[in-house]
Amino acid sequence: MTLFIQSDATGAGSGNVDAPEAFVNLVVIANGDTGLGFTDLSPRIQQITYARTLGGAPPVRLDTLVNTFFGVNPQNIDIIIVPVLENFVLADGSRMNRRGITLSPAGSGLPGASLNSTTSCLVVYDTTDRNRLGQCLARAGTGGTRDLPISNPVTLYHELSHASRVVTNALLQVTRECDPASPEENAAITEENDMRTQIATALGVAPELRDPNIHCARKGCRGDGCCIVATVASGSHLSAEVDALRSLRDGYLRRSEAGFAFFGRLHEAYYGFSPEVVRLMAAHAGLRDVVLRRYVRPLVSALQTIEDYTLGGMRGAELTRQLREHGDDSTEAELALLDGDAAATADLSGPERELSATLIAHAGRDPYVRWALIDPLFLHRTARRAAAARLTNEEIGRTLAAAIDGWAAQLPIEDFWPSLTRSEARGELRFLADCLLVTADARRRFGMRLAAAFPDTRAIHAALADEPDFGEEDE
Amino acid sequence: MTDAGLVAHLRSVRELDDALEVVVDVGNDSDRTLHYVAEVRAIDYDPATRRLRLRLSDRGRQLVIEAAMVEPTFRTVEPHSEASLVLSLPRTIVRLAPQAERSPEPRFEEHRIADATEVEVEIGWSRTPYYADVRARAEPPEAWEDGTAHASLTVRPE
Repeated sequence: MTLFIQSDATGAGSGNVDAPEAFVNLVVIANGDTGLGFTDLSPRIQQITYARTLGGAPPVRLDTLVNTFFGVNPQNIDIIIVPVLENFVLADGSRMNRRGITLSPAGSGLPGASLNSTTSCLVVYDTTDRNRLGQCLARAGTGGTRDLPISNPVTLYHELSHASRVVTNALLQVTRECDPASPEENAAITEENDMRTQIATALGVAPELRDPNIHCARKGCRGDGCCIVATVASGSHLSAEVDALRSLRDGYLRRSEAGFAFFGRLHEAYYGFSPEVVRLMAAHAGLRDVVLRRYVRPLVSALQTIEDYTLGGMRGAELTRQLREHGDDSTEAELALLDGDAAATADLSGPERELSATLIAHAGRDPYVRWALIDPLFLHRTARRAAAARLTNEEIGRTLAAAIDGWAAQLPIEDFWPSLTRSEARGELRFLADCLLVTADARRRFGMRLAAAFPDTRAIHAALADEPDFGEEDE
Repeated sequence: MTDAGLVAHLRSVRELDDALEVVVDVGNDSDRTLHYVAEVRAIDYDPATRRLRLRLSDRGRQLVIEAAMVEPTFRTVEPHSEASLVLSLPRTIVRLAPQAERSPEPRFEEHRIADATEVEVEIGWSRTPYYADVRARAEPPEAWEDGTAHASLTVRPE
């Protein structure tokens, strides 16, 4: 019998742990099995007993934890559940505030051991926030939407999953990675979903499962932050426009070193001027619609068309139709404005002129903003001019493809490249070939720019030679 | 055009019936919006010196196994403006007590941080909003910080 609940804390008086809540949570894990009980081992800890009568993954795991001697210490006090309150802090000062953690035994060398002053495995969780309504995790099947709450029994079961591997010396790799989650967290979230399914089944509702690949969570079940101009212009951080931009940013591009470095520079520039655009929209109500119709929607449409081409494999007439389906309500006037044509401001209202001055001043000068947020808009001009020249949809699609290839090859080159090994650089080039530089011509043009940017970096040149089409001969 | 970082000033520390309230003024003299961590992520208290350090940052946080890695709450302060941040803390904290001879059972120690006579605040800030690092070799959230604003206040015992 090796599972215990801390019922009091020596030296601190009573009232700093909530043992009844922990036992109730164990009852839920046991699915209400009447075979669960406890005895007072000492004034400070209760020993859990379990003569299981029910099946199911959570009761079976609990049975194993309660009725196995793991030999973590000579006293056979292997796992202690410590149901703390919100004023508990760990030895590194970090607050427990809504967290559930597992501390490996002191001296074990496993994660959390240096924060544990005992020879037991401690499962510490904050019991004060009932149903953890303020904590939102990634819901399975949604592409990472963080709106899934976590209850106390689910938190405890998640931690007991970790504890079971700590005491059997079977812990998987633990890292700080959030998305994708580390192997250990992936395993615990997968098992956590057994608990979610058991609770849902007992309630007669469909289970709401957590995405095992995403470990991080946020407070407040709002969407991930993104794109303040689009958010204000569209009126919601959950709008289709913001969702599309967020998906493009996080779903693929920021997962690579090249994409992450690029977005770091883009954010630096974008958040330097976008609050000013937001302030203008706040001061002049009509500007919101202008920004949404003339800039945000055409940009989303262009970026989605680029994605259709690079990741979706669309070509020819299909690409042309897709661009039209995404929508094309940009006008030549806006494009002329963004192209720096001063005459194009003649018919604008005062606020519109102020807005365009802000955009031109920043967008025109910054290569990152220009490449990511302005140049894609000109895809609409390319399509319009091709249509005006009476090209077929197939021919317009080919023209669009050439324009996208040309744009992709001009991806700003970041200074992280020389820090990569040959193998890492090769990985980045392959990533770019998969998601952006999808033709040999685009790869060759980008490869030439990269080689010219770092003429003395051997790893880069070797990687370019390794990868087909990037334009360098092997050494 | 200025490029200064976040500036913090600890305005007041007072004990309420159910909380310790700490009010911090944050200022931004730069030409762009600054983003900062707006919640106390860690509390360090030394009962011997009655020195309380509140960290609005994940710097120094050790790697542990936990149910979810909950990101901090963030706020912004506009260019050339100030904002106030009201931090509500428990009046006492509880933590695991060190044990000279290790035993299997935890011992707790409880401290009244409302008795602090020296209060320090550290606030992590950045020029851009926080977005989770989704790379395979992800860096921890604190890598987002461009700097740390410091403020302190000596509290006179009543």
